[in-house]
Amino acid sequence: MGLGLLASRLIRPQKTAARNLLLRSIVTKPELQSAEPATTPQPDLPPRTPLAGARVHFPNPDDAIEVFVDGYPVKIPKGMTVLQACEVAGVDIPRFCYHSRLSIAGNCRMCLVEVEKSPKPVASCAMPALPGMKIKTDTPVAKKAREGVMEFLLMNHPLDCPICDQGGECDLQDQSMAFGSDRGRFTEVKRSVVDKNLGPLVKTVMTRCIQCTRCVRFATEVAGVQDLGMLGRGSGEEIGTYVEKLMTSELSGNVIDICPVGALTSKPFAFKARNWELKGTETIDVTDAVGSNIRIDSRGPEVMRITPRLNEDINEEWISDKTRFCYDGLKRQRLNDPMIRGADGRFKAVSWHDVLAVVAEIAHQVKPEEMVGIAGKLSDAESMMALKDFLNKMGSNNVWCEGNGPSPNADLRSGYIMNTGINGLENADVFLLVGTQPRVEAAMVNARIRKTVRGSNAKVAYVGPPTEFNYDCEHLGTGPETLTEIAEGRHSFCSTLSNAKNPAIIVGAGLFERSDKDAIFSAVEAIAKNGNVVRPDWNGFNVLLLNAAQAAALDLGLVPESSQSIESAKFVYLMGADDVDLEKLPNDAFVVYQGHHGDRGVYRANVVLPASAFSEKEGTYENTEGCTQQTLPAVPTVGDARDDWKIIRALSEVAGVKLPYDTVGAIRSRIKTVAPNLLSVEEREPATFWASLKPDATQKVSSTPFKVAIENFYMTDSITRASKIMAQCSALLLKK
Amino acid sequence: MAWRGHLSKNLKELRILLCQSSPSSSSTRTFIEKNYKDLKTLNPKLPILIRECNGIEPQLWARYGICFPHSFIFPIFPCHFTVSVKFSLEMLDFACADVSQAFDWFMVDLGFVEVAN
Repeated sequence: MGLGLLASRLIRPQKTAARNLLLRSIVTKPELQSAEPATTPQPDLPPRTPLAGARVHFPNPDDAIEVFVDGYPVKIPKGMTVLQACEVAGVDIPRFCYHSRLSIAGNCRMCLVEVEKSPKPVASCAMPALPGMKIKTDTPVAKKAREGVMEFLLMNHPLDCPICDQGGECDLQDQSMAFGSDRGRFTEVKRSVVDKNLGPLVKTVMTRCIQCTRCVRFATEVAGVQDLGMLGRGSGEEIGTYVEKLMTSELSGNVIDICPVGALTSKPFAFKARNWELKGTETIDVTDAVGSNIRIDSRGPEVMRITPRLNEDINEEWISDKTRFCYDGLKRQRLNDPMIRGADGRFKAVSWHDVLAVVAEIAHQVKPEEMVGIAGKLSDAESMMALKDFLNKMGSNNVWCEGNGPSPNADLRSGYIMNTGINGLENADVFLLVGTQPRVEAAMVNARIRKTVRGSNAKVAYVGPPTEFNYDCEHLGTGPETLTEIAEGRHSFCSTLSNAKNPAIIVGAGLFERSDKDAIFSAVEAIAKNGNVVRPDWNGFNVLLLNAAQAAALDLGLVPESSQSIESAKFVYLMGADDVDLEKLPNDAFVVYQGHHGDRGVYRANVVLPASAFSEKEGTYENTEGCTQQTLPAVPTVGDARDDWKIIRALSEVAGVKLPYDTVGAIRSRIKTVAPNLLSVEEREPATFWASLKPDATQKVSSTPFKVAIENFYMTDSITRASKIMAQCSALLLKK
Repeated sequence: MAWRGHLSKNLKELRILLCQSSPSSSSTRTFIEKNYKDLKTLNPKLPILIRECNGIEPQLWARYGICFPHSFIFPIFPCHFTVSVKFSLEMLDFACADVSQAFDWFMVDLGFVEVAN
């Protein structure tokens, strides 16, 4: 918290320090003994800017009111609280229970400020600002109130900061340093509370809890689970689950961040490191297609933890549990040396020089059409570009990315990205989910839908296998025939859709794998046309992708020439592809696996090339809404591993088809001639051409119902499958 | 026009890069609106990748695969694609007819301006 301003003002020496220790009995700081309401505004304050660059949006300019914070006039829209007015005026008010994304509780009383003509200090987080209000945040009354609150909070708070994992990033610790008294007067026994078992992710030390109820509000409002609640009153007040129960939300890790004290901390991170020892690297998550903004905290070569970064357009300030806790998978099952499988079936470590020579020789022995390249779920755009160029130069056109199905259509970007944008979903009033369960496929998108449902009572309906949603959701049917009914206007949902102002259709990328994909998409496009879903001012047609690599792969044109190329392949290049069905692969085919984990792909591989994971390289990823973002290396690579694109570049030279790039910059200029939108980092390039340009589909829909795209939320790729924490979560939390 | 149906015989991939809003891309946008459906109907297997990026000059790229082992990428008319739709269609015609020129991949990529002009 940016409390530096207030803290430094407190530390500043006071001239009127008439210290008479004998008289000091009740109030801890002598200057607060006679805390009189302040009457005159202090004119010596430096000009202030809003906190954290906050901007004020005036929905209706007539409703602007003016208030005075420490004598400075600020214009704010009607309905803002006193605390928000202070933030606009650049004053950080200390708080514990208030959180800008949660409802207002007003129970910690830390945000007390003095308001002129008010008989007592007011809780600024819960008090609406009124026109002409004179708010004083730095007066003896406010200071005394804070000091008093602090003293009461610390009364029952254990003095275990030296062994507390929150130490160094604890709001209570920071604020007691800034606003608390310099000594305690409490001599009785502190209360103690039994710890709760919330599962394998969140560690609880409930004695440290100050009952701010942020976690309770987060669970009910954002995560949409009614697991946590408040029990008892007075000094017996406790946060708990009432009956012993694990917290079964895919967003449960966020309670660690919002807990202002050390009551809820990360279980896997417990006693591992202090926050000031860690090096933070701002990067991107790759475990799903959302591209949540994260910070990787590392110490030396080890990733210690992953925390969210604020990005209002993508993940706000939350991340899913898979994103937060998959990091221990980065240390296990890693491939660190190039290896060749010997005649006995065992892998033998060899040098890069030898392994590349072997691969290049075999690549030249097969016919070009027998070569296949498959990019994995976690591949970055640079390596996919290199893979595609390498195979194209070898004469093969069979290169694709797993998850995009046997015959992807990559022509129009609007056909595979989330055209509304994740942030744009908040404007929708009707959602139709087709063959998707966003709660497991993209937890952050689901949180956004839930926010919309809560905020504006949007209606949600879904077509797909019956599943549980954490908001009201109407089940329309299980298979494509329901879609046909809606498309032909025979379904009762059609009227809801046509009455909607901003309808949004979200199609799951699990449908890419179906053989009747084109027919399903044309049915959805018909629904979109009838329901006026795509208009110049609103594009409600969305595809929710499953993997981080998918959007960039389609943008780069990783489209196989033949959908049956696996059956006749003699040389298969798996670039981190672990979930490809290699059953039909001929036995004499030569398989190269390039990747960072000894996962499924390695079982069939003849040669293993070790590559770096997302935490170790600089790579470009495009998320499901078409926003390009880049990862940064947080830790060094393991063993002899290299970046994916560098391996392919080296291989191309050994194979005699040298690729014309040697640096990341050069490969990006190559990408500029293929998909220039991948170079506009942190920008969302919208698609202009809509499916109406497409020729009419001749396919017929099959009657097979839609399948579940992701069986296990916690284990979807090679990193999460190697993670012990994710294995524990799957065992404990997915139990039916 | 006959060349449309023959596109997929000679080409492995066609890429059209353009800006969503700039006036220099407007004729390219019209070109896509008018011709994409025809091209795709006649060449259902050919990827015609349309990539939007704010602020870029419209470009049309084709990747050839037939002259293996020298498969190469050959940019068609990157600068003047917008001047007239008719002209660019002629260029497409030219591209389909004249694929036997075995340009080195690397050379073409660096020297695309000379080749195009």
